Amino acid sequence: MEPGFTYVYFNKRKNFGRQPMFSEVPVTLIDSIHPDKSEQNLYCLRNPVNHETQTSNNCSNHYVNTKITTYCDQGVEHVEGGWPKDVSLNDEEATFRYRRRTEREEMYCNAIMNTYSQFEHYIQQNNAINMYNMYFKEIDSQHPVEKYSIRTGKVSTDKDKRPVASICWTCEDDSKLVAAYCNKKYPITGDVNKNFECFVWDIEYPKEPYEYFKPPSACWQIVCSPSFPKVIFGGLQDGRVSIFDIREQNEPVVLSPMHLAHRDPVSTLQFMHSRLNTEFFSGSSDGKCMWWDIRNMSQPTDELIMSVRYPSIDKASLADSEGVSALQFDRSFPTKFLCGTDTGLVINVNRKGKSHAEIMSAVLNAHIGPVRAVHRSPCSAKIFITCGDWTTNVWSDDVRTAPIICGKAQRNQISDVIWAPHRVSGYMSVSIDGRFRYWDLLRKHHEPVLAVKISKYPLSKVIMNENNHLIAVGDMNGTLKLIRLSENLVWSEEKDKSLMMQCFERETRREHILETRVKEIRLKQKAEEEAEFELVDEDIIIRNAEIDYLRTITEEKQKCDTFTDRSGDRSHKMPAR
Amino acid sequence: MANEAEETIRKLATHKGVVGVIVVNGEGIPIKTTLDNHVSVQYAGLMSALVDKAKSVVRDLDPTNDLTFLRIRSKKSEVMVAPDKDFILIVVQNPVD
Repeated sequence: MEPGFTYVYFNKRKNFGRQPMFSEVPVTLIDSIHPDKSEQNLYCLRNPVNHETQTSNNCSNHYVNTKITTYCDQGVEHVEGGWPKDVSLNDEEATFRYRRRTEREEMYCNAIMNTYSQFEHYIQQNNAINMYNMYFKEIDSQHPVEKYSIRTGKVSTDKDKRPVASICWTCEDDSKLVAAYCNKKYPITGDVNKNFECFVWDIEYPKEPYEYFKPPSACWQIVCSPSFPKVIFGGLQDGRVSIFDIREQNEPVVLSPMHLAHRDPVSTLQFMHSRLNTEFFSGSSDGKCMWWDIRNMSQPTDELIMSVRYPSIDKASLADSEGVSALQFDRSFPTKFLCGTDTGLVINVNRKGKSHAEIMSAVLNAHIGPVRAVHRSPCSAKIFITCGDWTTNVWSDDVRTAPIICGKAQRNQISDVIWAPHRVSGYMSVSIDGRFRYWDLLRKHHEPVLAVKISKYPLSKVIMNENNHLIAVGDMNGTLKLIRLSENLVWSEEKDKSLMMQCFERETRREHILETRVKEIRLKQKAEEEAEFELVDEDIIIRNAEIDYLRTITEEKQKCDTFTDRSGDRSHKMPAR
Repeated sequence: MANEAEETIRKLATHKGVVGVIVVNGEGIPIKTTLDNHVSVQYAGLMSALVDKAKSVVRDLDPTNDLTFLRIRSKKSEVMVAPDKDFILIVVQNPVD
């Protein structure tokens, strides 16, 4: 641009945007430019005209340069700071005086008095104990002690309120309860049982039975097959043994023949755990035990008459046999089993005996009434528990005369007893007052660890499932209740097993000692009796001695007389005697 | 008043395990001490800074709160600091084991 066309003027920034103050000046002609036509032709009219507009603040572009500030890193040497200006650091007297002065100040004294109590407290605390130390870190934390408790679970009731005769758990993982109902009273006026149905209950759904099956007569005893969950064995009131297969039908699949069956209701069934799991045996109050093979139920494989008191002809007959009320078979003794009778005896039967006496190898006087249950202990095969009348007794195979642990007589009759399968020292009993009792031989000897009233009616059966630790209890009103134990009742503690073995051993030894002592006393008595016979002999000897003595005296006298006769009449003559 | 203060400090120092007592004023000068001078000066300088920091921490977290006491536990000893309005009291104690 030519320099003539610019007009430069200076204005302060603060005056930007100010209202222009006009002042009136006379009119002067600054310049006059005439239009040049030739120049005009160089331009043409533009239509339309494009023009941008923008409504915004008008700003001016502007560069600023600030003053440069220089930074530098610098260390500070702290000597003693804070001294007022007039007091020099090194002047000892001045510092001393300054200090003294501040000590006299009121605030100083207040400060000290106020904080003194805190200090004292903490100092003494530190002196008392090192509180930042971790104490007891070497000692292991103890196991929390759990209280014994049980919880009653779901309840399944029978519509007809028949008493529970027998309960069993099926062998599958999701165990079901099989229950047989019947009234075991003797049918005096007529048949006591009208409805023979037995149920299989699912524990999750107790309102309705899961399945049911119907035997031809009332079922007294039920046993579930250990290999097939749907196969159930039942012992019936008419003495027959039946096999049910629930998958197929509700009626029994196989029945034992009537003529070969028991003559009385089957009171107990027991499975024999063999390799093939095909054998089981049954006992009844007619005094016979019969062995059955499930493959061929047309006849029993073996029979045994339970008679112990018989005239010594060595032949047993049903006439003097004892009714069987409980059986127990243990895998550890495959040829032996325990049998409890209606008369209160427990017989340890050895199947491989040659004579009948050998077969009934041991007879124990267990209870006053029928033996209601016999079970071997899961921890020690030699020990078994029996229950009957009002007591439960623990016996050992070695001792035949008395139980090694005598249970205390309870107020009510005990109807069933079982060992706790995983807890070495525990067993459970149910009685006719409706109470469930859990006993622990190591912890409390004379009373149960736990006694809970389960039902208003007498309880008849109890059975425990080894896998899910549930206990099923049946009562006389047809109700089945499930009981759950607290964990510490299910499992034993560490030293339980050895302590229990020691306890059993000790009791067995005590009984042994008592037995031998009793034998000794008896022997002594016998010896004394024989000694009396000898006394009688002595009398005769004495008499003989007297007679001898008198004889010798008379002889001597006679000799004397003849001597005096020969000597003349030295003395008065004695009349010859 | 001053005598009482003197007495109190003496009592503090005679407690079992106490190594030393220092009273520091607002400017960081150890006014009264039972330890050597250079040790006291060290404590005074270091503690003042720490107490200020601690105070600011407490008040930042909750403005209505205030620092009442500071205890520093180390392997060999324990330092207890009580801030007052203008002064700081420091007690060094050896723990009893």
